[in-house]
Amino acid sequence: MAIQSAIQEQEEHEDRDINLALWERLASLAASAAVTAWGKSRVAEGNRVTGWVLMGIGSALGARGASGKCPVKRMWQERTHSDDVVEAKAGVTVMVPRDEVFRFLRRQENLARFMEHVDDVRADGDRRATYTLRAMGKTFVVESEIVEEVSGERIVWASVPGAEVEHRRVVELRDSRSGEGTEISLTLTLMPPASGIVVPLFGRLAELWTENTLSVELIRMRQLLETGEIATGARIPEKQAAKERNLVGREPLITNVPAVEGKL
Amino acid sequence: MRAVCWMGKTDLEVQNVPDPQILNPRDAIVKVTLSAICGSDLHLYGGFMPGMKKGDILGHEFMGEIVEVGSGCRKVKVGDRVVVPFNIACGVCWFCKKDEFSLCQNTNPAPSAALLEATYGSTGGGLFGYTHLYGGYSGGQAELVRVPFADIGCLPVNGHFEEQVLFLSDIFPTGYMAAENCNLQPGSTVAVFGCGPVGQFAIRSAFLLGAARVIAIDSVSERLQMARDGGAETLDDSEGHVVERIKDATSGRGADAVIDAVGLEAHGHGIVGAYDKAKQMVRLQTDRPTALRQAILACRGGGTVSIPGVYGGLVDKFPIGAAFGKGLTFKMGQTHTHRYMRPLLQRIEKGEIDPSFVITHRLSLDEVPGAYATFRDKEEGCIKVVIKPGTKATIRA
Repeated sequence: MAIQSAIQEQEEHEDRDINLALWERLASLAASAAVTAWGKSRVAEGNRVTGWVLMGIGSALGARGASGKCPVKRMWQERTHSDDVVEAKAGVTVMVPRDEVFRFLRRQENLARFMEHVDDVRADGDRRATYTLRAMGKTFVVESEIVEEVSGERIVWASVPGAEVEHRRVVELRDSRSGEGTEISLTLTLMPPASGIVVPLFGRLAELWTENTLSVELIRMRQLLETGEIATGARIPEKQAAKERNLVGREPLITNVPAVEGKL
Repeated sequence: MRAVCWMGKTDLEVQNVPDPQILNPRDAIVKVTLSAICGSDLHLYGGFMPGMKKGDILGHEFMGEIVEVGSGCRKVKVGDRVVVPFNIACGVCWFCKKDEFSLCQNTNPAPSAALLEATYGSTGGGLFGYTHLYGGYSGGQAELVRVPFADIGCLPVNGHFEEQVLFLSDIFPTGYMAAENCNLQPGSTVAVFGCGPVGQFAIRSAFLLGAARVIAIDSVSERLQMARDGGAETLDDSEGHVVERIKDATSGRGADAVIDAVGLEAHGHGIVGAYDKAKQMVRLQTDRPTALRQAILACRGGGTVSIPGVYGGLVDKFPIGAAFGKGLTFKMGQTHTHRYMRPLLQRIEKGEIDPSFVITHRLSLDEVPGAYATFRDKEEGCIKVVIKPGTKATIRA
């Protein structure tokens, strides 16, 4: 009786491990046959190393289809349903006074000019705004508000409860330690399920992706604050990235950029 | 307009493409009257630099007439004749304010700047016609060019100067900065590896800055002759034992300063040359540092190695032990062109130098694709190709 129970428990456990649908198993078996045949033909042609590698892959695909178990898919599923919080930080120094940087960042519509994946920001009162985001092929509309503010020093934005992309963005400003300009520090935290946008990229890679996003944003912000323009390598408007369109309904941010006298 | 487009490794075409437009307030559109092929363009032609895309317009040495300006331009105006530096600078960032214009933080568009910050630790400024790592800006081997930050980038020139001032865009300042980086003292001896256009300007600049002797090294006879015409003593690299011969010529100590004006495509000889080519082919190194190794070995203890030759990635067998043991100083990098254009223009105006000495070929735009191979293979005595976009006929110098 105990043995029968153990066998039944083992079978149930194995059933739980099966994570492939019937069509996936059939596709895997078909691929196995094709790759194995390809490997055999390469061996027959004298290319033994490639041939045996292909036959090995064919065998693995066969085992995948026959068992219905795929550890790679399981890992992917686990990551995409992760409870992980993704947090990334980046910083930049701009040659602009701290108050001016604060004023620029405090005006929510300005954020769309340099933020990656943000198509549009519409202010809804002084502290609240609606963001239209695009990431990983999807579009999200997110309500966000300023939840903390220290004039000239710090702004914290957070999505409102129940938002589709739950996140928190902290900007901190300080006078540059070199005495020139302002050091800007930016921290972005994505909470689940929003973090699912990037966690399929796995662990450190997700952080790197997010850090790169922040880095791109801060470079654009620096360009905008220091020169009033965002650089573009395009030759014609049709080739410009959306963020690089300074002349489409947008005035230069700074119009009194000092000339470099004595050089040119 | 018509432009020289990169279509793949060693594959260039002259194509009709849309005219550039003003895209930012401080842009200007320049109608190109003279352009040139630079030695560093050969790295793109040969497929050695990453970040090129099919259809990219080449060329970063050019001058012309301003035909349109953006609403934010304050100094340049339509009708100005200008020389345009090969690097693009904003004039207001931390680096530009310190005259380090090639390190400008605001002219490389964000995605490529972020990539350089991740790989190099910092971005450089945008470059005309020089890969999407540096912004993907369209270059000057074309009839028209969009020039960002035109007030900072365009040097107005006197009407009667043409070929004499073209090279203020790159190779004259590059050679000059290479010599200036040598920290020359009265009586200094400088060895210059590579007698291509930058090497030729490094030789003449070293003398302008007070060098007593310049030893020029190359293996192409007409380039060595041009170096001698500039006052240099010459060594034919193909005869071997270059380091020993430089030491013999400098009382056994080595040169006070050595300039590597060769860069990543050095042609080594024998086993070392084959080794470098093999490692580059299988991507175990991106650059061939043959000349750089020799420069380190040929430099005296306590001397300076100045590197205007372009390097892009990683090298193997870099003799850091020799450099450390001899207490060498290294100075290198993209030229801060804007810093040198006006003072060097004054030297030209005073008649101290006529940079057009280096020109060997004057071609129309249509002839440019073929001229790259001629330049690369050093055929027909080719040292410097100048392009006249508005012409059809070929004029050999």
